[in-house]
Amino acid sequence: MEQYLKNFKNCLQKEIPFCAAACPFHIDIFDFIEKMKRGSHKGAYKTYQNAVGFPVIASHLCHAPCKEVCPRREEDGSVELLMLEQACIAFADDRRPTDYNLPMKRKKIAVIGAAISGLACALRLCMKKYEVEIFEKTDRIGGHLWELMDSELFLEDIKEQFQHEKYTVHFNTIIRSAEDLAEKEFDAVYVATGESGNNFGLLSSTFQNGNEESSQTEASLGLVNETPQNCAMRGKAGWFAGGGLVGEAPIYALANGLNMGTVIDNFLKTGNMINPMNEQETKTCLNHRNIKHENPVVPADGIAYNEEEAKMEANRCIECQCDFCRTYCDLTEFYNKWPLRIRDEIMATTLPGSADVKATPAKRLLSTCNQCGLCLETCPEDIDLGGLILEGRRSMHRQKKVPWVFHDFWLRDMDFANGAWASLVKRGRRKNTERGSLDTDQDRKNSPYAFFPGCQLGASDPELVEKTYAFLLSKQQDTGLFLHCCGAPAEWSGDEEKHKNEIETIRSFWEELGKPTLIMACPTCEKKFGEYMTEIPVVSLYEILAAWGAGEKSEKDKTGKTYSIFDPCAARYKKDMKRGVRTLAGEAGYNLEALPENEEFEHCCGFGGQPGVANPEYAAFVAKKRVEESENPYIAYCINCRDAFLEAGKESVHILDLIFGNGKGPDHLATITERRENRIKLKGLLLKKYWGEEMPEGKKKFDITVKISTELSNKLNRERILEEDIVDVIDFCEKTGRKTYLPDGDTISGYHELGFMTYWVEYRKTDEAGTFELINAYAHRVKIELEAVWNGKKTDADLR
Amino acid sequence: MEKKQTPICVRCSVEMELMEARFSYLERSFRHKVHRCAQCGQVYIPEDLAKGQMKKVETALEEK
Repeated sequence: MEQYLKNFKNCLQKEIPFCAAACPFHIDIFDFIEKMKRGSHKGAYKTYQNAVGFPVIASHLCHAPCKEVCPRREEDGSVELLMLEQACIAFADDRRPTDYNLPMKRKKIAVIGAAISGLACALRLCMKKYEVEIFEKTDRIGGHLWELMDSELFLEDIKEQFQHEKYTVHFNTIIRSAEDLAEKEFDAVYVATGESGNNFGLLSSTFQNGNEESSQTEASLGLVNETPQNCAMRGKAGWFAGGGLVGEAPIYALANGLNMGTVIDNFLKTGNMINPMNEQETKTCLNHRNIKHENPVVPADGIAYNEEEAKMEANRCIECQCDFCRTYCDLTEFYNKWPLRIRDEIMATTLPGSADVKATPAKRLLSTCNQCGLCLETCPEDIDLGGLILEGRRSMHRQKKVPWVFHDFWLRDMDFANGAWASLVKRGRRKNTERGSLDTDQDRKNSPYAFFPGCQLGASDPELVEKTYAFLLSKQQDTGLFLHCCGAPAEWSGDEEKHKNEIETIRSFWEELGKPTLIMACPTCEKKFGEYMTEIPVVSLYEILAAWGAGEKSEKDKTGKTYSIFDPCAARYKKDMKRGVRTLAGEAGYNLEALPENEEFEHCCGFGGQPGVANPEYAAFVAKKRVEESENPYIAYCINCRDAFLEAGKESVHILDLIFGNGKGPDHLATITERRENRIKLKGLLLKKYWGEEMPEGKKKFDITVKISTELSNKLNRERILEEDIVDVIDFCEKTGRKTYLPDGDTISGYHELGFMTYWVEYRKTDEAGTFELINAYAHRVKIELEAVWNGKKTDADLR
Repeated sequence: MEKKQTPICVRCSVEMELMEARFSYLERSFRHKVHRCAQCGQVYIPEDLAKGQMKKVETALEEK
């Protein structure tokens, strides 16, 4: 898991936006703009006030460095943050600062200089209830502000912000040295004497005369005092310098004063003389797709925004944040969670230990991910959330903590596909021999290709496999056949052992086939071969079909509609596969229109990773998103995509429907029961047609027949109940007599446990012997504990 | 009034009664009153119980 966690440290989610980094006050812009967007001027004003101390002064002095970095500046013009700040001051109905009813602290601070930096520091410290005394050499407060703005404005602002605070100002008082203040025993002193003011030796220790090189040499030799720049201990008091004295322009002097208030507070609490630079950088990475052209709002009066205009301008702000994952990953959108939070939840969930003593917040989420890999593909810091999730599934499996039901259905489906009834591994023939005759061993050795349609294509539409194979044989007579599952369900279930065994089986079959190149119909199979069986050469069916001219011979489009090709997530790096599909559709005369979003980054249809049982709402959510991207009918080339879209009500066809089928796709989607039957049928048909062999006779399992209406059949399909399981349960009830008459006196009810599931049937006898009519069926995951001992009698024996 | 639902155990030919039965799921077990044959112990769970309360328990335990 470590390898996946490593990159999470670089996640940019918490990085501040560009404007906040450039802002002297590093305003919490997300908070401010959110309030402005909904017209809460009072709320926005509070945010602004907390950040800048003196809102009127700050908005007057600010030169809007935010506009220089706003990503809109090159598109349609930077967001007018300064004007929004002025708007919040103008429209806030209550601008009083918060009066914190806190006891005074027993620490005293001197501020030397009552210009903007000194006042800002004093304000911060007063609000934290320190005793503050300001020493000013002139007879007025404000310093340079008198030259920069209307005195009425700034004096009013200062008065307003200090209205709940107590402090003392000593006018006409010049402090020349530390000794002048020794008597008063201050705990800290802030020196804000302005440009070329007395620095009390605080600036002399480093960077003298701008000679950076020599000071660096001194630093490397360990000759400089380690005390950070601009602060030092003088007796028991910490002395700090800032504002214009250290070369700050007025707006930065104000910001610096506020910052120093926090630095001094920290010093008084901890004794640490840490004076961090008030500079912040951001590494945030913006998805420029987020910027949609919107012209800046120009105030109607040419001066300031009215409330409506302010709201409109605020809405231009895209709140810059690295959100590639949130934009592209369906999982983060569905759960409305950021990867960092998902990581923490996965860590908590996979931590060994019982759920009784710890939280397991990501248990369902772990089995919800589609494993499409888009998170890693789009993350600028290469964070592989999908990889972490797969590793989480493995960890949960090792700890035996995955609810079996999440993956059981597909594991059973895989076992069936790989079992005697559906799996087929056959070498092709050298010559187009008569049915039933055998080719020589020598011929078999040289078979260059075998067709690997994947387990779902034949289940959904066996005819497509049959026709495709016939075409391949017409072009390459000795093409072998390999009906098998690629093992993806085992991988996705987190069962590493099972997955490994599946891979080993595939490998040995491939060797038996004479190590041919496998022609892959399923993009996911091809992806999985590329990940786990690199020694097996594979080629996309669509590339081969295009190269062998299948499109030219196919029936041409008669619908006149415009289609969009939906590239599945597994085709992301498969240029030849994608090109092949487009060639085939083009040659078959289909009008094509691109799906720009999906072509930029191929998405999952909702089937991948098999979240359908763990989180059916999620699978439906993803499918709905995909089908809404365009109104055009889709051409898919992953059968699961086609079926997921058909299920979501979207007109969709498989590319093989166009080339070898009727161009329309199936009349109805095969139910889960039909999907099994289709596989059996396909195997039997191909065995007979090409190898002259009969399907091995399996023993007939049941002596009874059950009639199931279409309506019930659909219900069973929705609830993933196989019809053969229903027959099994009725057979069991009839044989054991373990059944119940329902109150109508006619309907029989009974249950039986098959695998993990418990199936209930309601049925009636018919006039025909051994034939029953199904009335209803349902299943549950909870196990009924065997009625082992009841009234002293053992009754569990006949439940087996 | 709701129709009376009293299934009859076919083997014992007796009306089932509401009695406790033991259930388990994901290594946790619990008891619940369901229709049961007083003689042989056979249970009957109607669809609304399986799809209602039972489903809720299943969902909750799957997240535990």
